[in-house]
Amino acid sequence: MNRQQFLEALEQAIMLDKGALTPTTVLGELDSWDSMAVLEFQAMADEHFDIQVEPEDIGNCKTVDDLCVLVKLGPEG
Amino acid sequence: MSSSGVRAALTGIASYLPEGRLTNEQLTAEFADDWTPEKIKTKTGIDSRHVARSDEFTSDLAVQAAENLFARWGGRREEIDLVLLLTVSPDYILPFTAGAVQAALELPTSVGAMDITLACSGYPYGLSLAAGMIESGRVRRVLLLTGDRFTTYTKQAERGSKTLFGDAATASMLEATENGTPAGGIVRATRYGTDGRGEQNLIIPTSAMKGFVGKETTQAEQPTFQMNGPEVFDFAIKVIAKHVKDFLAAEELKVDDVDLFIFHQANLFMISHLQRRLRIPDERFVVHLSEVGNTAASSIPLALESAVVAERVKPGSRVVLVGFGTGYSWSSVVLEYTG
Repeated sequence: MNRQQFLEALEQAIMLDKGALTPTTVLGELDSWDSMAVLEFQAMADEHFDIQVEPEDIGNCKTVDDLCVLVKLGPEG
Repeated sequence: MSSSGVRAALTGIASYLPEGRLTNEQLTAEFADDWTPEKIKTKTGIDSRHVARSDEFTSDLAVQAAENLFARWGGRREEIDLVLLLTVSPDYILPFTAGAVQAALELPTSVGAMDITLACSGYPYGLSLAAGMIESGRVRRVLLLTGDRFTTYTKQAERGSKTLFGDAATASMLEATENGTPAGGIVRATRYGTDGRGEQNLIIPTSAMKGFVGKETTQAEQPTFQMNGPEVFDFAIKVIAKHVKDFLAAEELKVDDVDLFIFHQANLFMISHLQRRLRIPDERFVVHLSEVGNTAASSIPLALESAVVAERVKPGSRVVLVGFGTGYSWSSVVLEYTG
């Protein structure tokens, strides 16, 4: 899963329109970034990247780009 | 395993669901936000939950489940040696609730009875304890009950918890079996797990000593369930997936050697994720959530009963039950059905 696919999967999981998320999107400004969305992100990280992200680390994320870093997706990823 | 050749068989299972219902439509009307009944269904797999009446307590639920079991079980209730009741919503903190059940069922006073305070991990524990007592020759028949009115704990809980839980009770009969008689699900291997560091992540903080002592009021606060969803999901993906893999490996079983997996029915999102990670095909995986929700210790036996009724469990079937939840605590058991 590359960066673009990751963004699209996250959009779908948290019920946003396609293209709604960019790397600079601030999570705290999204109504749909709730506890269920955190679970969706944990599930994606586990299933597609085999990474079990610490909940505390997700809590420290401010932007979508920070989430990408947690699943080791670089700018070109 | 028994050295005497006596094994323990699960020879009957029944349930009781209280009449009251809580639907997704009722919940979303109460939430008054952007959650829809469909969103709840998609994420949790649940359409509605059963809710006990205000005068219907755990002992009442368990007694009804036991009566439903007796109605189709061939034996006499006088033949029961031991009653085990799995509950985290006892009628009182003291005395224990299995005593009220013994009296209401008019079981002889020679019967042993006790409560076990495990929730979602409890049913495999209960089977394993009953089997140990039977295989050692101490008892011949165990009535294993589960019962909770968990919705009492979620009435004032946050939105996510309210969508998950329902009230229910089940009754299972475990009997000594020799040379295949009586037939049933032979309780084979068991594997346990405990990690008390998860204590605060699935908890009713306003309960028992730490809920009462030092409080200014003598009025008991409404005991309310608290769940740290991301921490619990983290536990499930790190610990439970590995636990199931290790259990199968220790028993020299592959996923395809197991006819049916029945996980604690936490919610569809969580158990579907575990199913995919463990590569368990749909036809070998039981989902039983839509009409009952998460019913704590009752969820596995309710799902097992539904699988028996649907003839997904037959003589020769090998079934793996996986419980996990508050504690943290987890346990699994293998049942092998004879016929």
